[in-house]
Amino acid sequence: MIDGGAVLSWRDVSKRFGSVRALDGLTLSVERGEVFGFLGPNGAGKTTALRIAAGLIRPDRGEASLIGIPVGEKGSRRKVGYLPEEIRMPRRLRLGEWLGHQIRLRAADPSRIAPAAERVGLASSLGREVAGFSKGMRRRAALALLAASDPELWLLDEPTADLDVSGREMVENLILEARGRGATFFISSHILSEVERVCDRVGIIEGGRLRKTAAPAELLPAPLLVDLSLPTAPADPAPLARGRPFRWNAEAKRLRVFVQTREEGEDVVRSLGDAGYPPVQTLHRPASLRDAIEGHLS
Amino acid sequence: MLLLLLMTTALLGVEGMMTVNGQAAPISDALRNDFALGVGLRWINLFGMLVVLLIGPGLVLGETERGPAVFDLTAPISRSTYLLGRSLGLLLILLFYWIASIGVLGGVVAWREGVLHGMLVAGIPIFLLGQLLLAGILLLFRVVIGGGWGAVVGVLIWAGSWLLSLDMLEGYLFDVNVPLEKAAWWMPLFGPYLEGEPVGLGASAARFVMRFFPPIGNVQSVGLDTALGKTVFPPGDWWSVPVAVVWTLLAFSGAAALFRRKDL
Repeated sequence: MIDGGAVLSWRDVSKRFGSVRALDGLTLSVERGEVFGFLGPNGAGKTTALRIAAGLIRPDRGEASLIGIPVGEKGSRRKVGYLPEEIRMPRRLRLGEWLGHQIRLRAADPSRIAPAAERVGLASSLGREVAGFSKGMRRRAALALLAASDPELWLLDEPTADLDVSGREMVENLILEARGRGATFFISSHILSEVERVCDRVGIIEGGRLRKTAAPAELLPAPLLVDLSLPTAPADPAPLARGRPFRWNAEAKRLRVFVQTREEGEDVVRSLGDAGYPPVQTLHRPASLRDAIEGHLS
Repeated sequence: MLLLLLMTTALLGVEGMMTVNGQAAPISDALRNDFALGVGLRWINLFGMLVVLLIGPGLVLGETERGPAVFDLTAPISRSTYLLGRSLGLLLILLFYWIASIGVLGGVVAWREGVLHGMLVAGIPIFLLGQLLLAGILLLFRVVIGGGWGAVVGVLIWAGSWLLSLDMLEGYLFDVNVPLEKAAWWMPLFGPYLEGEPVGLGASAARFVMRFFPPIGNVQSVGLDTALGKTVFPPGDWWSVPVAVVWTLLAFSGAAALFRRKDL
């Protein structure tokens, strides 16, 4: 057993594709029952980390394990479900045939197929060839497989991509229901609002390196934000924030300062006016994960 | 079915215009039927090889490269099991092809001769072995090199092996009793298949390599002799069958070992 209590772990995992270092010494563990969100810009290494966990890619260095079994051994995949970012299925199979084949491979109960298809909104498509499916339907089909096989560990790469609003809500409910049964989740997503709602802990990766892991609320320096458009760009915006955490977008001349209260935010606006940078536009709003993440990325 | 019809038409067409030693000559009915069966079997084998060449590697590995196999390979089955299953699918296709083709050929010849050639069926497993060997080699190189280059290498091995076994064709084109002093400069390279002793380093080397080279062409010769009811054992090309079995197992094992370590 590589890592005693963790359901999913990477220990000093590195992977290079040619001259590109996709992962650089990733060390991370996900505990049983946890919903972990993996965030980062394009090319950060999120999908590589997931594909290593799924056994599709071998790391150049380090070890990864699933439920205590080294990745790569077929036993490690016995209780794991993987949702890839891009869903491709054999075009000439009907959905019911494909689900039946996949369920048999996973030694799961075939009677769960129909309820799972109903759950994701594809009950009437079981007899249709996959060739005619849209991207959203293929993603729903893959989610139906996960729902039917009900794994202990769900590896999800962009689970709500290509889905409409009802589809995203369906995914969120699937996660919450499975979590209630004790399942563990590792989710790579660009949709920060969803990650914020369902995840217990978030990891931020950039350039193949893990920058920070924390609960979503812990990533926020303060609960509120005052979002300001300035008339001109100061040489150094730091003094304008007066020691408070802030984010500065020089191109848009946009300053966002984290504050504890609305009054504190108004105090920031007044001080900017006194400093000769009266805001052109001011917005007081709750701080979000997006605001927090940008500060952790170079 | 179109290929089978094409093959049957070619068989009947070639039969009507064959020559021996470059001269039109009257031949016995027995020799004519023998030649018709031989040409027919070679056509079937040729198209079977094309099936292996064109769809074999893609059938086994195509879905891993195009993406649908992600769900299969993230299930709790080993990659070797996956490869074995896909290869068995290819084997079933080839088996069905051979049974259907031999059925057509045997039926046509039986209709013409009034005699059923039961030994045609006996040749099927040996021909299949040759095609499995080619499939294994193509698969191995597809895993290593990827894409079409694997097929190019496989074709070169197949063509080289086939050239090393020009027994029936060269027997009719070159006359098995051609004196060595009249042989063209390249003939000694294929010396083992001419009457008389091998001449020069080329022919000796060819004979040595032939013993260990993936004996696709040799296996085809054994299959042909078996199907035609000719004596195969002992000596002759009998050694090519166990060598082919070993090569086939090595090729598929090698492909499986490399596939297990391949990033997808």
